Amino acid sequence: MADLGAISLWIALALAAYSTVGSVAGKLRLSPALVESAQSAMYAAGLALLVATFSLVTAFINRDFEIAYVAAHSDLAMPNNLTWVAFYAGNEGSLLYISTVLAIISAIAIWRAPEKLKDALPYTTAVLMLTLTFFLAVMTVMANPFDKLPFVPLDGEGINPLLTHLGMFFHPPALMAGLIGITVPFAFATGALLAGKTGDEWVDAGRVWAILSWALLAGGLLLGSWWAYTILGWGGFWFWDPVEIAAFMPWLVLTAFIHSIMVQKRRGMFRMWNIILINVALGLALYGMFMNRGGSVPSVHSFGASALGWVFLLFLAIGVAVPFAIFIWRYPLLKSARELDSMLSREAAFLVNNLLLLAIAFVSLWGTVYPLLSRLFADEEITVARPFYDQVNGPLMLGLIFLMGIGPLVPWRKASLSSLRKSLLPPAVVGLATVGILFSLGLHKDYALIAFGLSAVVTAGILLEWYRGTRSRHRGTGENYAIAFLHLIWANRPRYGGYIVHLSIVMLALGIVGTSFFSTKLDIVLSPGDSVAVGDYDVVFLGSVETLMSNRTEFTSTLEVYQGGKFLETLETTRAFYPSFNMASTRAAIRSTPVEDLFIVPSENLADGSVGFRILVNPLIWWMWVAGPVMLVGTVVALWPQKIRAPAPAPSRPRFAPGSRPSAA
Amino acid sequence: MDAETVISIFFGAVLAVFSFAVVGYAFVRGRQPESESSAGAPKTEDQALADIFDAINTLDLEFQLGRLAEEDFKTQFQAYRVQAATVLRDQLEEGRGDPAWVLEQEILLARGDQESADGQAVTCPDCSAAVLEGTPACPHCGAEMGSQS
Repeated sequence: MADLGAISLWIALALAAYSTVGSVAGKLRLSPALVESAQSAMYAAGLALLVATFSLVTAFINRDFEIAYVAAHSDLAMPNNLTWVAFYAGNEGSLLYISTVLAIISAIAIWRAPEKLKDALPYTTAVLMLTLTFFLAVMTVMANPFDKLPFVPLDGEGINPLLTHLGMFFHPPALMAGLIGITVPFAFATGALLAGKTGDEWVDAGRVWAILSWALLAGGLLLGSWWAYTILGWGGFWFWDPVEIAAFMPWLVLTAFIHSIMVQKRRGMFRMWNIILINVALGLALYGMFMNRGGSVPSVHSFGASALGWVFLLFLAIGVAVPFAIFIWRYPLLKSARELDSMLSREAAFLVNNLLLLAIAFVSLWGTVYPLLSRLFADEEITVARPFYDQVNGPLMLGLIFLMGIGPLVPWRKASLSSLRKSLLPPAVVGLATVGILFSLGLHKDYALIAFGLSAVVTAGILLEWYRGTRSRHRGTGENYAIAFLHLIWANRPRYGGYIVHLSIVMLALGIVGTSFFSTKLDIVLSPGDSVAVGDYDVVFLGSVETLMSNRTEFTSTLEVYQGGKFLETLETTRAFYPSFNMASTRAAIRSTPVEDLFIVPSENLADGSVGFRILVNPLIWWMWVAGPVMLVGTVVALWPQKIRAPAPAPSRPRFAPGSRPSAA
Repeated sequence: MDAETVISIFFGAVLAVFSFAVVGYAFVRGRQPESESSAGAPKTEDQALADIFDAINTLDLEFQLGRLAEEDFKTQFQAYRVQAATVLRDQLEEGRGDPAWVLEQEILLARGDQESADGQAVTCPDCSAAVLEGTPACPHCGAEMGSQS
């Protein structure tokens, strides 16, 4: 299968390169046949990459250790269900994964592209295929997953134990797909610019693909946090690790983009701004890939010392310089259709929201490049740690939550002060009441009080709007409240899908604030039979059992948990040592409720049977993990295709919907 | 050369030939008549209409939720109707689509404009959208407004 995989990669490279050149040449030479042929080559490249993927998966299942990549990332003891993880566990496989994803989404994006973009599609195809050509060239020349060993080893080195976690089935592929997915909206924007279509033609396609990338990145980041929380053994979920930030930054810029693109769609405004945003998002995505593959920042996530760093740095430089050159070239044509009517409008709120998101992204970027710059200019590496990010980004994030609360309550174009007062007063009262109640209950931390108050404002604003809309439908149609509510959401999917996502952000904020300000931590060594009090809990350590496995030694510790003298449950937590990796992996025992988590993880198993434990009580963190599915639901609702109804259809005719108009006689 | 290598090379060759055929097909088949570009334009117009109608839906929702004064609502509602009517008229002038249907839509829009000048907003019995009094059918769901007032 190694040969078929290698052949497929070369075929895919040839097709992608041909598609790049053919698309541009066909467009410039006005040869529709060449353009069509180049587009077909793009589809064929996707097929070739699927064959390559199939070949590598088959090699893993057959444990074909003749292939260096299979020998390095699997062994005979590895269960087959981990093949999916092993596939992208290393540099070469992850490049193949990224290339395959890019080829597939490129094919779907071009196939489903709106008709109005027809003139720009050759350029869009060229941008997508140029990116694919880069990845395929790097893979075939420098990091081929089908390279063979000169001998066939009896067993492989095995999979990294930290990757054998459920979160790893989705976290890395979601992040990689999200990062490379940004290429699609970027390609639509750049293709439209190159074709001289400087209006709003690319907006619909750009919005849909940007939201998909955004959702993949959000899901990937959340699953990564969950993975870190349950397996890394330090009890936290976010460390401001440079590679975490690498995925976080494009997500922030995409968040800004999917808000401001709505302004362009609705009002024809922010045309230049949206091009800049999608260019910045792509630049940050390429920066993230550079950091992952040979960037000089050490991280738990990176693929180690890889020689690809310089190649990706060059690609990053091109990926930043060329799009901005195109932007500057087309700048005179990028005029917005309208000016901002008022600073008291939804558009203005979106603009401020964009600026805050960009500020957080650039603070984070500064934190990742500062160690490099300090080493370069001061001969001394000064790393930037969590306090920097917390102190600078914390207030900016509070500002964002504030805007999330008031933005949706402000109408488009302009708001009168009286209507604004009417809309904002009830949520503001709820927010202040929340702060008052929490303060009187003894919560006196400023940041936490503000965050909880603002979260209450956002939630109240959304619930109040749903209540009013539902009541209006109920009164007008006689529908019961549940049906009226569902119809309300269904009739305004992009808007209310966004609101559901806002609710999930509030849930995230609750989890982050709860654990950041109110967590209790205890590091302690317990012998069998010992007990310890943490928060409201009493934890009794019953003992630890050692089990020898084929590739690891596993220590399973059993603990009983009591609260107020009442038995709650028995928890088990494991710590495994993998000699071939000289690495320990832990699985935390977690008793999770919406109020708080009791988190127990063993840090060391001593010879006398005692165990060093880290025990934490993390308030409200449960809401973080619930936020993921809620965010997913919101995204699906927002993206669900919507038929737009005409304002004045003839009663005798079916309703007008785009595309349903009778054709010319 | 073992059997697996031979099979791999065989399937690799099949893939290469197939790819070559897919890429070359565009050159050997006869060109389709250039009707695609003329079919593309109406879809673009449809999207323009869809965006306007979407904006009307949102405007309407914000009015229902009490975020817009009635006067602002009427002004903006009328402006969107004019935009939609302009798109429809452009279609008619360019001779695309079914002229009778386009004209009918335009008349309905124009009637809506006239009525909105002094009409009051009422609620649609079917979808509960705000509709200007006197409009024969709900602009959003198409339901007849009947005796609603």
